[in-house]
Amino acid sequence: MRWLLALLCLHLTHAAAHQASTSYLQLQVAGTSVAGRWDIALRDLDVALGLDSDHDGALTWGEVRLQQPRIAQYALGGLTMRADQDDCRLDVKRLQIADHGDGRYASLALAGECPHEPVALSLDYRLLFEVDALHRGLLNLEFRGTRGGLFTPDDHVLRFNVGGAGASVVFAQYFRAGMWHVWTGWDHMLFLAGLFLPAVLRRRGREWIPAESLKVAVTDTAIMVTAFTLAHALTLSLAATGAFSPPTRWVESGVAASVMFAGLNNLVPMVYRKLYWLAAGFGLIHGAAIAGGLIELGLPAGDRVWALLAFNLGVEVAQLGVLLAVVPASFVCRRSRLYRWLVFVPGSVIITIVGLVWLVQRVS
Amino acid sequence: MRSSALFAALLPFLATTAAADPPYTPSSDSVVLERVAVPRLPGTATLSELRESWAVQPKSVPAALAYARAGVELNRREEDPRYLGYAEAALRPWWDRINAPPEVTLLRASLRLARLDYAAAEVDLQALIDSSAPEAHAARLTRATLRLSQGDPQAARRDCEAASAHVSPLVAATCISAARGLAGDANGALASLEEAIAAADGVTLGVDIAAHSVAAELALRLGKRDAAQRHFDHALRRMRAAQTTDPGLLASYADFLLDQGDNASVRALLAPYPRQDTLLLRLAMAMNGARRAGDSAGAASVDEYVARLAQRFREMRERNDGTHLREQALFELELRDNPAGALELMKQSWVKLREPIDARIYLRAARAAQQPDAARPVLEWLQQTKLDDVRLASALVALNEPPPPR
Repeated sequence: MRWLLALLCLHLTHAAAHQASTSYLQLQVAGTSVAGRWDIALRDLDVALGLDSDHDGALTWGEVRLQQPRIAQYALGGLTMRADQDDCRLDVKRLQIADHGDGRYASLALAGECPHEPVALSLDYRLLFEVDALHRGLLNLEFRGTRGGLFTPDDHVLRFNVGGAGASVVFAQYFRAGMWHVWTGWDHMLFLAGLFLPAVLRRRGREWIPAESLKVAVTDTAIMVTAFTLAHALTLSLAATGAFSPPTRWVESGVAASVMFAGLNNLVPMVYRKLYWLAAGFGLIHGAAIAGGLIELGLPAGDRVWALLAFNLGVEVAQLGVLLAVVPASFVCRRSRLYRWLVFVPGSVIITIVGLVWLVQRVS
Repeated sequence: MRSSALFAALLPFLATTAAADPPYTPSSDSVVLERVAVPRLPGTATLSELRESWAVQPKSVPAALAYARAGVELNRREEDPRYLGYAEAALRPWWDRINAPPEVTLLRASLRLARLDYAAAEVDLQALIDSSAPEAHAARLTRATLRLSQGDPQAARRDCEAASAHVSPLVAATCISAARGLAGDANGALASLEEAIAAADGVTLGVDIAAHSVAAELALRLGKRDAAQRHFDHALRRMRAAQTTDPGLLASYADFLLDQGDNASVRALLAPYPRQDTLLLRLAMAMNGARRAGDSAGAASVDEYVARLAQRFREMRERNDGTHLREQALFELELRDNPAGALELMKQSWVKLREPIDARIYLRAARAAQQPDAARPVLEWLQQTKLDDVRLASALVALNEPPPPR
């Protein structure tokens, strides 16, 4: 019944006619290196870039070849690839021509490098959408198996994680990602250092005195670590599975406040009995914050529980690693004045100041 | 469930997605790779000139509208969805805005209709109809089109009648007759449309072609082939005199010729349009028919056309594009001998498109697949609308018979 639309001079057709604008993106990601091929219709590039420089309606190889830098720049400007949250570099190595059913395409040979081996790969595709809203990008990705994808203006970011790669691979990847997340997160590290610096000390009156025995120090520390870890795992799991989603700004501010408080509490003790309650309370906040990193990666379908467990264990192992570095060393040095005045006090001052700065930044 | 059934039905027919041909470096700079000239529009501006003025002021309503309308007009002639993509990109600043200017809203509704996004199109059209903008009447006619596509002639007729006082008598008569013709009164509809055609003069090209095309369809439904031929001839003559293309008219006429087994005329009619897939499909059907009849002259071309169409449908499926299901069903039924796949496609397509041509393809697919019960939705629709159509009547009679030998 298109006849009626003809009456309005709004002649439209919804029948299959020509092929709509489509680009074909093939990518292979192995380790940190990326290789690929991207075919983009010359007709589309001409619309976006005006390749037909002599305006004679015939696009020659000479016209295309001379504009390789512009074509490369335009194409790469329409695609961002990230390994976890870090940008990967992509370059166009060569421009050639490919024949497709509906005409000739510029075929770009791609090569690139990611800063580290991705657990989750994200691709943000924006090519040509500004000139053709019905343009689509068809993706063929080799990344721990072959995957397909479709980029549209509404769905221009696609994420791929290690799902389907086998439970052991999933476990290893998420375990590593969890550890990495703690070790590269300065706020978590500082909080842990601040909280556990006094673990080898005991409170008497207004003074910190050295713990009498390693046994007491280790027991106290272990109780605190357990409290922190359980609380932490609880919110991390809940937030990562989407059971609740606390507002990022308040969580991040809470983390900063916890860092500041941990430092300040060492200098001007406010809480010194039952420190494990404090550890548990702050564990809840830090778990919610770290969940953000896991949400960014996504949980692989089919292996959700497994990946969540691995990530959690990775986080906890990394935290235990921090404690193992801090607690024995400070126990050995606990009676030394040098420890007190070169490590404990200045360390706590720095932690307090950094926490305060973060808090101001994150609240405002 | 639905799409998995479809996938299973099409599985044996999905060619393995062969890796694209390896890229190469052309032998010399002077090799012509692509023709990028765009046909000139009526008036003087070319699409690229309109695009340039849009690009420097993308927020300007007149610049965006001029460019978008040019895209829509070019799509009408060439059936190339890229032009609709340009139009939609031009309307992007207003795409999700409730209070867009009425001209923008009307064009947006039409683009949404072309994507079969009925719900969004309805919202736009209702807003215009409720407003006092001059676009309200055009919005009524557009909604009538939507209702006819959805197979609801009663609602279509209400919109046609509400708009009739504000549009030319021939436009009103065409709209009302199209709706009446689907609601059990094809005879009366054809008579009053022919009267309106005779009374009108100085009719613009688009309206003339539309009126005669609707008249031809009505005549065909009544079994009046001579009258249909006359209307088709008139519309084709005007199309050729204006040196334009109307793929919808050509497809309808080709279907008429195919029904009569006149494969030679279809080849002559459609040979100039190998780039338009709806027409290529009919051309391939005609050549395939000729091959079956023992004429092997075009056998190699049939295989090439079938491969090209298969590739196109596969790409549309990969693009999640659901606007091609009817054509793909016809393709599976006629050129790939896959009635089960065709039937699954028609079941999906029927949700959105319910025109007599859809009903015919659906019934033929159900019969060929020997699943007459699957055609129940079509039978119910026929009862509801009381549609009279001799071709549908014979398809109904044949529904329970074994499929014709190939």
